[in-house]
Amino acid sequence: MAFRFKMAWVIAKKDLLQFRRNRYIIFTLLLTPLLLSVLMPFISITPVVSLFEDNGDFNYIALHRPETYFNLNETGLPPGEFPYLNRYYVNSTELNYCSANNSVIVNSTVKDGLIMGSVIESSHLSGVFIKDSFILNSTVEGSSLINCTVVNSSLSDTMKRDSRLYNTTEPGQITLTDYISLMVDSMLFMFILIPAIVPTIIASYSFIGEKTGKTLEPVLSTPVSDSELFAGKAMAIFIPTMLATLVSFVLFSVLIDALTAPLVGKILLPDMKWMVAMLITAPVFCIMAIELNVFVSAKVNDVRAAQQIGGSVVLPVVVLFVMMSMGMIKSSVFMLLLLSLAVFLIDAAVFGLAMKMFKRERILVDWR
Amino acid sequence: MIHIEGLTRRFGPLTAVDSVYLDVSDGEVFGLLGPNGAGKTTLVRMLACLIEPTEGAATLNGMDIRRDRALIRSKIGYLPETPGLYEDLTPAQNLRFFGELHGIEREGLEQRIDRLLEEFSLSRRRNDAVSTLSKGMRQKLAIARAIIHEPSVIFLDEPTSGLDPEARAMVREVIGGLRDEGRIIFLNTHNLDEAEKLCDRIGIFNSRILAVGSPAELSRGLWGEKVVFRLPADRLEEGALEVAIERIRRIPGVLDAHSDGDVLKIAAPEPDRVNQEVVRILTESGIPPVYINEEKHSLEEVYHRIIGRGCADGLSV
Repeated sequence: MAFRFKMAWVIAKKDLLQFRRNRYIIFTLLLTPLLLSVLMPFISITPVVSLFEDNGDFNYIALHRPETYFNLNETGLPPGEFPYLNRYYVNSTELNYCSANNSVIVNSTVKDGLIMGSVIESSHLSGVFIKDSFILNSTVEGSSLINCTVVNSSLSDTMKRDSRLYNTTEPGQITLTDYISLMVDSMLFMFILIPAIVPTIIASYSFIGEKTGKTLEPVLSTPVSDSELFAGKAMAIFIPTMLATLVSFVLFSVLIDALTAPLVGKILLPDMKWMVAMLITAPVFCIMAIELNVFVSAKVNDVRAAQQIGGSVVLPVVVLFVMMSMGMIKSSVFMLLLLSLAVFLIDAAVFGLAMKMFKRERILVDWR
Repeated sequence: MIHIEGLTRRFGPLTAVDSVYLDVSDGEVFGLLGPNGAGKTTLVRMLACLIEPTEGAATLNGMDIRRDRALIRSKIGYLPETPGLYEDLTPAQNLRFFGELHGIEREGLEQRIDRLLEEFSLSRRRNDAVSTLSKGMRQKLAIARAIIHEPSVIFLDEPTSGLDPEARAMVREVIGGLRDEGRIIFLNTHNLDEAEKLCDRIGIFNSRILAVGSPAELSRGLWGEKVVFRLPADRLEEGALEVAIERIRRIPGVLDAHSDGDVLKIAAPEPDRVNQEVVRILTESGIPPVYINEEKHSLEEVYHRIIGRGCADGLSV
């Protein structure tokens, strides 16, 4: 007999209506996004952000007011063998072998000099001794820094003392952006965990509830086919689960971006990897969880027992999660697609078995 | 009508239903009477196309239970032993769900729900959770659910078991109403009183049909047609009664006659043809009967006799 979507939808609608009246399910569906999308960013990102954040140092930017400085292009370099610039605004200039104090140096190259109490932005410095200064978006090599604040720059072969580096690369070090990206990525599998856990909770009510209430027999005496019934019940689990997952993801992305964008200067989420995870990997895991719960429900009569056994579905995901956080696997679009394909194949194989389990006759005779 | 031919169902080594032959005609209330575990539910589940038979065949209004399974399910109403209502939903939601499963269009469905709730006096509780309804109300709701799509055949599996007398009366009244609408009602029960009150015909069942007929037919089949003559005790004389009994036994059509105190019992398949003669002989003998009655056996006696004999004959397999 042909599959009638309308029939499956009638079943799904009834289940969804029942879920709405079940406070455990509502609680689960509301708690999951709250926990994962609101608490997780705060727990994992906020400490990192606050570690890097120290607004006091950024006061240097207040010095960045060109009108209070001599403009180097107009005044020219002061005379002398080692020209001494005080309160100069240096823009797009090449300075060799000179000293600058309380100045602003932008888009310039400084070689072999001495800079104190200045702001250096988007410049290239080499062999320079820099003290009490603020360095932004610049490259520093073969120099010395004392009591400096360095943001968004890269340092190489440079000695630092009493200095603070923000989002600044040194050989062998990662930037704040990299670090935050890593933290965010480590939560990716948590988001695949939701569609694996939530069905366990809902399915145990959905199937065991019908079983203990003996409500399936009247349904089975109507014209609905076995596959329509199965599809309807699966849909009723799939829809709220994926909705909870996707809503969590949207909230999570907004929060992560709100917390990190000011520091890393770009929006991290959503990216391709997360889109693949949410739209492909999560659904296939959700389907696997539903199918396995049908098996468990067929054998067990108690909601709690079903939840415990059904919960084992999450184990493979937990293993992946651990492997990822230990650096054994790196999550990438390719890896996620591969994983999704593998789970999809398992889904297809288990579907055949689940459908065998979900025959009228077996539900009435064998399900105990 | 329902036509059953050699329907058999085995579960492993156990034969739950053993070669059942039965016909139930339109507008009839048929009761399947048997002990717990006799296989009544299995038989009804096969007829309702919930499980498949191992052997044999059956048709419901010409539809084959092996071939036309979905079609049959759309034409029958089925009330399982446990009503299986969704306790957290309201009566209206329960009915709506089943109406939709039967493909009833929205507008017609709402009207039908209103009418059924009204008919079964559930309107006032239409928006309360089923879990708050009394057992009798739930059972009525379950019956309403079984007939939401106007089925021509209704299977009721133990419709009054576990109900208090008041609720039982409530449910019986509903079933009586359904019978009056001319549907086939196939009733499983182990309640003799219920079977006697509700059913046109009864099948006594223990894995197989042991006897079929109306309660009176069953009784007659077991004990034959018997007429009881109550004689005037004060005029009984030993010799006269003996002579009269001898004369009565010689009447053509009388199978047996014997007395017990002031009661004379005569076995005759056609009592209307011999009664007059018996009365004449008794009157001539000076002992005219005070009352003449048909001998009645309660369904309970019939049932125990048949089930007991069935077991003794090793019929229950």
